[in-house]
Amino acid sequence: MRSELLTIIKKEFRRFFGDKRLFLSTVILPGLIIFVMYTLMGQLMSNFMATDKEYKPKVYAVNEPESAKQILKSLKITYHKTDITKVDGLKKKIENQKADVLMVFPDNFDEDVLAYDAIASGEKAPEIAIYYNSAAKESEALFRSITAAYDSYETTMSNKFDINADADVKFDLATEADTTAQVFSMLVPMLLIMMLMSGCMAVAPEAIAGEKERGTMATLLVTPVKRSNIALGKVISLSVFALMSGASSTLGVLLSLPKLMGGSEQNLSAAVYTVKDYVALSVTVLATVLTIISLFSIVSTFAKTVKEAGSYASPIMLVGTVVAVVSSMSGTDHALSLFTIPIYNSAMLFSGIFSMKYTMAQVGLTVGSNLIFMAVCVFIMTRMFNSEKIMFSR
Amino acid sequence: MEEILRVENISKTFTLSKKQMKLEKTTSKKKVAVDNLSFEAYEGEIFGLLGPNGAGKTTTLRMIATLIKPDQGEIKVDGSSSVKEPIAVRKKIGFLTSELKLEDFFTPNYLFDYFATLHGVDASTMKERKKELFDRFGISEFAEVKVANLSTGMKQKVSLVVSIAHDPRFIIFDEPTNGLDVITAKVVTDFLKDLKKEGKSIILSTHIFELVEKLCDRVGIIISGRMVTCGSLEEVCDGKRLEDRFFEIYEETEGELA
Repeated sequence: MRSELLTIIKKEFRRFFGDKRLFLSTVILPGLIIFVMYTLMGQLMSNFMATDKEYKPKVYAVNEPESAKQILKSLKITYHKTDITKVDGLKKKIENQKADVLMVFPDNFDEDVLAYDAIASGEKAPEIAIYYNSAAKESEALFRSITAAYDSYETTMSNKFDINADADVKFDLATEADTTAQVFSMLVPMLLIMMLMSGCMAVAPEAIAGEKERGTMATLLVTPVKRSNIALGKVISLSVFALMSGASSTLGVLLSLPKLMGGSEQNLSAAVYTVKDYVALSVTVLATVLTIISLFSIVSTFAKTVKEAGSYASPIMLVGTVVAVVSSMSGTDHALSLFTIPIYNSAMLFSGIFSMKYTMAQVGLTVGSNLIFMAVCVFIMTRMFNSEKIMFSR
Repeated sequence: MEEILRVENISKTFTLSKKQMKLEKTTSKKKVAVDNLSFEAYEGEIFGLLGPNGAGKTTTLRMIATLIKPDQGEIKVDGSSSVKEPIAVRKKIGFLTSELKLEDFFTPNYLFDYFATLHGVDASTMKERKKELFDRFGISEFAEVKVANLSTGMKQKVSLVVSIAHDPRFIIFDEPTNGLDVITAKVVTDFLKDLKKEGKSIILSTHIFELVEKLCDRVGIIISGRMVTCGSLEEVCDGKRLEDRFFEIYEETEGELA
């Protein structure tokens, strides 16, 4: 009994450890990819959350009392004094991300706070209005540090004032476009790249490795058709299928994301984008599909079976996802040369399009470099179709 | 008879992977698959390439079909060089391997049109030829049935018909009855007989003696990549049964069978 059990276990061990490819893909790669992905994501998240140390905040205060001067000094925030007549203009500036925070104190704030007795008076506590823009990183960070400092200050005097207590006033001055851009540019590039990759992965292995596995590839290769035409024909047709899958995914994401994120409360709507944005998005999706399908076609040509092609494509998909995450977290200020790197350029551009901070030069460079990448892949595939070792090895 | 195929001193050596070296039980990284092989085939005949598994039959046929190139030597199909003029050769040949499994999703009708178009057959010729072949081999009533729903014999017939959709003069069959049941194998042998009657030139590889005896006009015995004998069936058999003669030759070449 024990010996039979051992024999079975030994056979399975031999199968697993004897197959280097299986061992690599099941033991080494997952750990390695997760390590690389999480390290990169952690690094990028901290970069993304951290504000620029050189940044000079534009903070304005109306009727700032002595306590406010002390608190802002302790936070090392320099501010500009202003008066109540300029409030509307400054709110517009915050909305346009030209200013960060506007603090409006009532007259005699410190005195009223000291005199305030919630139980005896039954009146509203003195209130500070702090206007900010959650779509601007620095504005959001300043708002958080100022409110945190005031919260600590308030605990020393048993809840004698409020911050932004008036529910009818909009203190967060981020526009619908700002919020949509921020949320979409963080989430959609990654989702889009993943979905485009899934679409490509679903069609490429069957169409190329499947032909090798079934023996129809040899029948195809003895026709007088040029190998380059076979390669190009495969890439173009597969791109159409993957594009259809990608278009359906994109539409699904754009329509469902506002609902997923809480709809009207979150100020999200895909309608904030212009026709130009949608054209740029469509062109980028097309260029991305061509890149991904070309890459997967090479992998499928190299593989002997559909199963093998799938096992090669999975790590590529993971790497593509990491690249998409990395680029969507790296802001929108990129060197133009980076837009020549396939997949990375698409993810950056998706992020740029959704945050409405992109240029036509970036679109042109992305499309151009992706088309060149596809041409190179088709050339490599043609060489692979001519390779006896790749097409007919066992 | 007009010569349709000339194979002159072709050789092919493969580099083995570690896994293949282990399978082949060899320490050498190189394997000579075909070694200085020469033979001819003539118009209207069926030439059989007979040999055990691993003898180099498939490699030889793949070199003739332009799928792989010989390291040395020359192959001419109907006057065109398979190395220098592969496209011209591909226009003249039909090629079918036992490994071929047509895609389940498609119908015989579609597959015939697909391969005929790739071979450059015009629409009207394609229509006529399809009708003729489908009628002759009983495929017509299944023309719109998906391959997945066809019987094994019908699938094999469709594979055969598809491989000659462009009406080639010269047809290469690699182990055409390999793995088939007796009924389907008969379908294939009858098909080959019909093609011969039509005046087609055929080369087929096999390790089945009966198939060679039934179909072939001439035969070449290939062992360890070398052509050990080649000629008409009578010349090769030398008054004996093909099977007996084969083992005689095999033992002369490779030593006594254990």
